[in-house]
Amino acid sequence: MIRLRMIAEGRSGMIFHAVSSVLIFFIWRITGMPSPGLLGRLVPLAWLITAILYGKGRIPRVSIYLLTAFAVLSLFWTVDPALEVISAACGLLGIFPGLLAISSRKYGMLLAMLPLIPMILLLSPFTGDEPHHASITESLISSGTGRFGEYSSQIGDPVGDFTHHQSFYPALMIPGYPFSVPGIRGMNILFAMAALLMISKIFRDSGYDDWRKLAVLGFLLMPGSSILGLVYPGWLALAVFLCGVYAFIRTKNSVWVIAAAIVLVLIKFRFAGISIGLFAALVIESKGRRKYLIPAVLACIVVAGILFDLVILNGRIFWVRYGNIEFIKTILLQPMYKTPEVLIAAGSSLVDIESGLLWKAPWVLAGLAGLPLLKRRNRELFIWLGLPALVYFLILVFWMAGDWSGMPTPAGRMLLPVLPVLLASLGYILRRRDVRMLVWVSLGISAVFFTQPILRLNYADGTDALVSRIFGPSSSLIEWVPSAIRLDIPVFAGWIILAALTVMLLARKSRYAEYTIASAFLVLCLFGGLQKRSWEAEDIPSEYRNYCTMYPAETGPDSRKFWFFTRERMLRLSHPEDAVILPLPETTGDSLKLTIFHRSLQSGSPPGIEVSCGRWHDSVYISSEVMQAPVWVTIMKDMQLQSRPENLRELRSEFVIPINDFVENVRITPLGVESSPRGFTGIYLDRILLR
Amino acid sequence: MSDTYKGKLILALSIAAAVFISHGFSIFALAVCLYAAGTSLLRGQQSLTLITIFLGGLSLLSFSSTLGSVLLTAGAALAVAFSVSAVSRSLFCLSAAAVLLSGAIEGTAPFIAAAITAALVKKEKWRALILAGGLSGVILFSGLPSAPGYNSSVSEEALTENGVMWPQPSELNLAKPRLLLQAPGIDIREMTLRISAGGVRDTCQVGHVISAGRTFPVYPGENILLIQEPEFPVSILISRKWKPFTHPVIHFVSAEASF
Repeated sequence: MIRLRMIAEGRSGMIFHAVSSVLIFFIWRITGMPSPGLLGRLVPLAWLITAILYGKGRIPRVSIYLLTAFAVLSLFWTVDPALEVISAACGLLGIFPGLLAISSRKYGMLLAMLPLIPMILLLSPFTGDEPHHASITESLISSGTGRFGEYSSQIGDPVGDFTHHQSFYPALMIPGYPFSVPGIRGMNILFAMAALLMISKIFRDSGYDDWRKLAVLGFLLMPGSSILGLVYPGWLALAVFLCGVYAFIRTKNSVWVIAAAIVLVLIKFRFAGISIGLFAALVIESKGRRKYLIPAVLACIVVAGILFDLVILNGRIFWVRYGNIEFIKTILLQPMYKTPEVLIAAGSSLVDIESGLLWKAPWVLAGLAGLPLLKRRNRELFIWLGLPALVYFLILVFWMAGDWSGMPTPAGRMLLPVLPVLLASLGYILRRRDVRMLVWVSLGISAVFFTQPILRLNYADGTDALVSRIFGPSSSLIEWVPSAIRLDIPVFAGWIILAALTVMLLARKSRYAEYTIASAFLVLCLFGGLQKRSWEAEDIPSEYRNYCTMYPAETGPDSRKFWFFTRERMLRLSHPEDAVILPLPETTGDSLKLTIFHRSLQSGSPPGIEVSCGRWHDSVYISSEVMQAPVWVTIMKDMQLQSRPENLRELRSEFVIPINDFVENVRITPLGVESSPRGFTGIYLDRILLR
Repeated sequence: MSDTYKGKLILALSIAAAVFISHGFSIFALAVCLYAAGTSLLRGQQSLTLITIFLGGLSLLSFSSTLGSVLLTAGAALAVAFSVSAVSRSLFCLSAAAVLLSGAIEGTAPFIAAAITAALVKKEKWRALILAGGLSGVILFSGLPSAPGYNSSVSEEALTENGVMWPQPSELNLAKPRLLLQAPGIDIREMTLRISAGGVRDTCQVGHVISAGRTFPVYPGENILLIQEPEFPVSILISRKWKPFTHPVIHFVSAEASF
């Protein structure tokens, strides 16, 4: 007994985590929550591994709150389908304080990743670019079509025989290949561990107090957690980038930077931005003749590399993708004709509901706010981590404006290279109350994504998978959040201004920062809870429509990203039985204005729309004209746009509906359509307003 | 009164006013106001305040719905268990009681009683214990709390050359126990449904499919059901009630129907 007490002494934290693991396991089963065999085991397992690693230490108070929240929410899970998501996330979030505590041990930041590894390996769907990278790995060691053989090419690949992915990164995953998907993902976990080791060493040498905790936050928070352990080259690139920086800071030998810059380009051409940033930092840090010599050497390396690719590699790395004259023209024309698109793409990285970090990782506001402090206190780190991140970001936005978010893969994955500089600046303000608030909200969102990884995947359609899963399509929230796909300039600009204001208040250590953040959140919730009066047609759930089809049929953005005037999906009404039946909102007046934004494509007599509400009905016959191609397209080649829905001018039809007490819904049906629609004919609904 | 409290109180009052202006008076609106007042007077760790604000905010997003009620109740339960301030605990307790007594969620009487008792107790350990007792009481006396009526969803239908199909897979569980299939305006002669079921520890019926008063059982494993001249809506329903250590689930795979 005394011996047991001695063992338990000072290990209350460990015992708490172990007991909680058992509690969660049984609560899950007693309440009958879904996925008992997988999530219902992985969450308790994460607690158990945390208990084993915890060592001596007290019970984290926050974990008690979160465990209680899990217990209460899981009791009510049958009340609403969203509650299983929230309660599971609370269940996992409870170990995060423990993981942060583990980080203070030797190799703590690596140990802290262990409880999450089973979840990463078993829960995340093997999707997006993952199979493509894995199939290249497979092709390097096996000639047959094996596990990943069916994913040999991808939309956007330049030529049938080429994949637009490079071979260096897949080659590094060969040791994991015998173990199939877990093995290949395991290699990526090793890359992430290497990057975290580097980042912690840089922070330690730079004199940060919380250097271990910062490293752990690096993989717990988005964008770090977005592709943690998944088959994407982001973490490997980060490891190489940080390795170059760390080695240079220690040795002051520029060979490390040059080597890192070259390897980054070999991993993926997209990371050339980091390489340029590294060279720029090298130039800034150099003195005397070297200041001029380095740019000259850099130019020679670039020219030699491009020639090497052209002559020796048959253009496999650069020319096959970027040697296309029309592509080069597009890039050159960007600043003249696509400036708004480029600016929106830049803003989207922060505020867009699908790909913006604000909604997945609000801590980045604190990271941005800490940059001036980082510059003052540690100019070297500011330059070496900041400049590559900045150049990478600018090139990314400029190069791939409108398509840079890389969906439908995990949101935020393209922004991984900005993680080190934001963490470095966060490190200086982490202990502040308002900053901790942002960090904990971000951790909560990460916990949702760890337990429900499918919710990380968005499809560039203006909706967010997490918001849709929790609040459903009937929520007004989506009207009040910015989207680059469903662009509403006042909403978009409003959030940019609010984000900038918050960053400014945080940077000035204002006590109003906390209230501004809380108020913004509560006001958004208040507006989002109002009755829905505006429907994006493609969001209308099946309970409010008869038949109808989506245009385009595929969920992904592959075809929509080449459209010129819109990137939204549309709801097609092309059959006499197709109809939209929306509930009437509560109104005090005797009439309601219904506005329909739509496109109409004819094949003979123009199709029409009929709106009916009880005995009242009205109709309009109208067809859209095909628009002219944008100027920047006509500069490149003479182009006549096809008569397809995405090239049609949008129409606006208004109806005033008299309100009758006994009628509860309004019905929208197509007129003049055939029972066997030809081609693209029909009505394409974009948006419906009920005011 | 300190500046911090003034700020919190102003924020709470503003939220309360905004709730009444935007949603009008209702029991839920009143509960939100009590919750906001409780949050402004909350004394405890910052993380507790943050969790209560977050849950309260999310409840505004699903105003008056069962989800909003649960989130408000969960936030209130946490605050009752861990807030140092007795006034704050009482306000949270009233908030939870208002929501639960309004009938938004059924079968929560033991929890309400436990929350009221716990709010009056000074020692945190006892409060947590009483609340845990209340939660256990709910399960022992009335089973899992449930929303009044079924949470149901409607499967997306698509016209084909020969009829109608429902191609989107869907999962039914105790939180969403009913799925409806519709085929408005079309006479269907025959319908085939592909369904699988599981999550139970026996081979008895997990759910059923209902069409025009006819009932077709769904058993654990794969089920292919053929319904002649179905009447719509066809309803797929989990018939198992909650029981510990069972997780009844029906996977609707697809269905097709011909003219």
